[in-house]
Amino acid sequence: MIIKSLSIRQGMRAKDFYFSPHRTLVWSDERNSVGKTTLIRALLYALGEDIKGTQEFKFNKIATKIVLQNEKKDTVSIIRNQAQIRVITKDGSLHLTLPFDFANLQKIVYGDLDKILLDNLLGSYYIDQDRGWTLLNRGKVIGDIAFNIENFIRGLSGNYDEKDLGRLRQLNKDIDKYKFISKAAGYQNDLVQEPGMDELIKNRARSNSRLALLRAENASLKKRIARLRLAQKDNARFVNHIEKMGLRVKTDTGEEIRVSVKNLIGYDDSSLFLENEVLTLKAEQKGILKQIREFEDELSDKDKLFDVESAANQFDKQFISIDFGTEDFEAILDSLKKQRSELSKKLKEGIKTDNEVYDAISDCVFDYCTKLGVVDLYKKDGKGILTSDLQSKSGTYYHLLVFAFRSSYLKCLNSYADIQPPFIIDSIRGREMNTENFEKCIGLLNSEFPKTQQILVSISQKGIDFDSEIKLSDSLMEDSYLIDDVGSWENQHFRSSEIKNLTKE
Amino acid sequence: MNSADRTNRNASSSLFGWEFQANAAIVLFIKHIEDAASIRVEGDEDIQLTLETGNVIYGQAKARTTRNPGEGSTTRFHEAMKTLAEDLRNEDCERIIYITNDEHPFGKSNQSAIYGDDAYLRYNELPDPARNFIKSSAASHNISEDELEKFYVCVIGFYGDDDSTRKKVIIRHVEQFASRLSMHLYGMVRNEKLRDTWGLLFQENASKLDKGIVVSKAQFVWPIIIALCQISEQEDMLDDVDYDIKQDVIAQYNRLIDSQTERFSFTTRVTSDFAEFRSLQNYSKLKEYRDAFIESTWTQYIEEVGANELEEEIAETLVKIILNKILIRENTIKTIKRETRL
Repeated sequence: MIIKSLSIRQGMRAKDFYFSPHRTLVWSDERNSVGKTTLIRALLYALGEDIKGTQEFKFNKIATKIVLQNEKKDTVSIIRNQAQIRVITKDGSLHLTLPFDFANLQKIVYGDLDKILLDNLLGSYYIDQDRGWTLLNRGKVIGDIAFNIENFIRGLSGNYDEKDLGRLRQLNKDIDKYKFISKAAGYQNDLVQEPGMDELIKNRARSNSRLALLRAENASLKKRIARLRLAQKDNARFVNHIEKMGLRVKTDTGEEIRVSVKNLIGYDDSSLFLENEVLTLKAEQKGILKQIREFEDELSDKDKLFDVESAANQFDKQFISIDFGTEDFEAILDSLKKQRSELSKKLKEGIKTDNEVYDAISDCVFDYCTKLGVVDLYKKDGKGILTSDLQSKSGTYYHLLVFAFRSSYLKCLNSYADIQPPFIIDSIRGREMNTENFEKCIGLLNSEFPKTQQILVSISQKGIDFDSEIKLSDSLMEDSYLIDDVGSWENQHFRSSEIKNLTKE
Repeated sequence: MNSADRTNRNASSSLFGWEFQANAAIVLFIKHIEDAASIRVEGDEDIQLTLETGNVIYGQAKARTTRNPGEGSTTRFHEAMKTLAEDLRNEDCERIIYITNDEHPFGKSNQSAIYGDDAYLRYNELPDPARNFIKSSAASHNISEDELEKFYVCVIGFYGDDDSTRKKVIIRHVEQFASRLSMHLYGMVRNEKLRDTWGLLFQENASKLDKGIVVSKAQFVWPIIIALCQISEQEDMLDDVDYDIKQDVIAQYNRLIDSQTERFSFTTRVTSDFAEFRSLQNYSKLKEYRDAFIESTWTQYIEEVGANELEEEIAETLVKIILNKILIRENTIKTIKRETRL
């Protein structure tokens, strides 16, 4: 993908930014807070990402139009107005709504990629000014958009078991749930300590559970009675049938008798039996209904104890009746965490074993770390690219390590997914980046990503070669122009003359 | 008694009074179960127990509703005597009974120790002061002392808000009745349950009673048959079959067991087969006949029971349970009917 231009419209004013297919430098002549980071974030926002803008420049007040060449080499124009997206391609125009159609939009831009890879894509080509330089292999890229190296590798290699991942997600959910229940039970326990509350709860809970039991008994009796009634009907039908047949039998004395309900042995008893079984059950039911009424009265009396009720009191009152059972939540949590840890371990092992992508990223990280002079730092904990021990790696050189990791992701993305998104780095000259380290980074970019579109942000242009530049002096929308109407702004997508002129100014 | 009088007394009778009357009818029925044909209970404290001879025992059930024994008891007795005196004039009158929950049925001054909370005494058994008191009340209705030979007093303890306390004496009567029956399982009958069923029969909790209730002997006896069947079916259950399997089958197929034992077209086949089997075999005990019959014929019923798709062990247990239940039920019905001369 190559980003060609971005236009930001704020009301009836708009400003266009053009990007080189090689390296574009966004800079500000040593000035801070002029909108460099906002521009980069607007670029991602224009690509449909869930990004909020900055305090001074809210994205929900603007519309964006980005023109790019997608991975299929087609020119695509994406117009975003909050959640509404309009995509114009050579085949026509398409309307999408975020976030539901985000996957469709990504497909247009990047082509058919594994969902896990798409979820972890941004972290492989974008380094944010705030969080980007601390994100090594797991964490937030920007806002709520996350990156996870294991998933990135899975997405790239296509080598993973969806069932295991599903189980891991479920475990994570369960752990969250039990953490919540455990807290809630703790709160309930606190409530119990309140004077006068404990008796109320005990009685109430007891009454409630007894009431539930009685209701269930009543329902079961009702069903039993209904079944008996049905049996009575069936028997009556059967006997009626026999009577209608007009069967006659001869007794030992030679007397002929017609078979009827009256002389059918056992029928009377059978029908009286059922009738009285119903009566017995009804008596039982009556007793149960009486008890139900008593419990209901008792519970409603208890309700009267709370005469003044705030919403919070009401909540406490209802909350206190919830039966959290007698489970040991801590023990359950421990067990779930253990399961998660075992599963994660298994999944991690799966990633490391016979995985070309894993090996390639590891080799690349090692290579870049060597080039950047931080290979010792990388090797320190011996855990390679899946390390989670970031503490041991903190320090001045940490940013170089981050740069080595992130550059490797993009490099392997190019090789294994065969896509080439731009490398967007905000800001290459970070606060803790001294000149020597900065030069190492630029050197790496030059040698390793000569064919990759690069959008670099820096406070100055010192030491950076570039093909085109966007210089901001005061604010992002400085020198904006008045548009004729929104429609024409949207439709002026292919001002080919401008796009073709994307050369070093 | 004319209907205007009835209406008048109806208005004054409380719900509690009606509940007492219904329970008094149960006690009375129990006491006369062998000879009784039916009992009639009306909203005006009347109880009429018709005997198989056609004669009638007339009762008046008067309840003390206050906490203090003896309070208002003479007034209640005099009111009852008004009606009982009229009843005594009927040709079919076997007895007249004054029924009360007051341990001082004839006022506090007339020796109460003999009544307690459960008594059924005839006129001649009463102490002199009580007899004198009754005699003078009867005289005011032109009833001679000779005629008072038909007079009985029945005291049934019935007081308090708590259900089990209030019905304590009634339950005792139910218990005694159950124990009179010769079945070995009577001790296990849930007397409270039986009493509740009868209470329902007599509409003891009805807030309004439009007309009298007549309960036949059959209606009265059948609840005890049901109670006894429920126990005997559980107790006399196939000693040879493995207990755990039996319990599993009952739990899993209890609806099927119920429906097959309720289906007349099936039960009549089983009982007829059994009758024929009995006529051809020679055992000393009924249980032996039953066990032998079940053991030798159970396979014939597999299909009709609907057990042919089940595992053999399960099918066998299921069919045997059903057959056993049907036969035990038949025997229990016969026995109780004989015992109560139904």
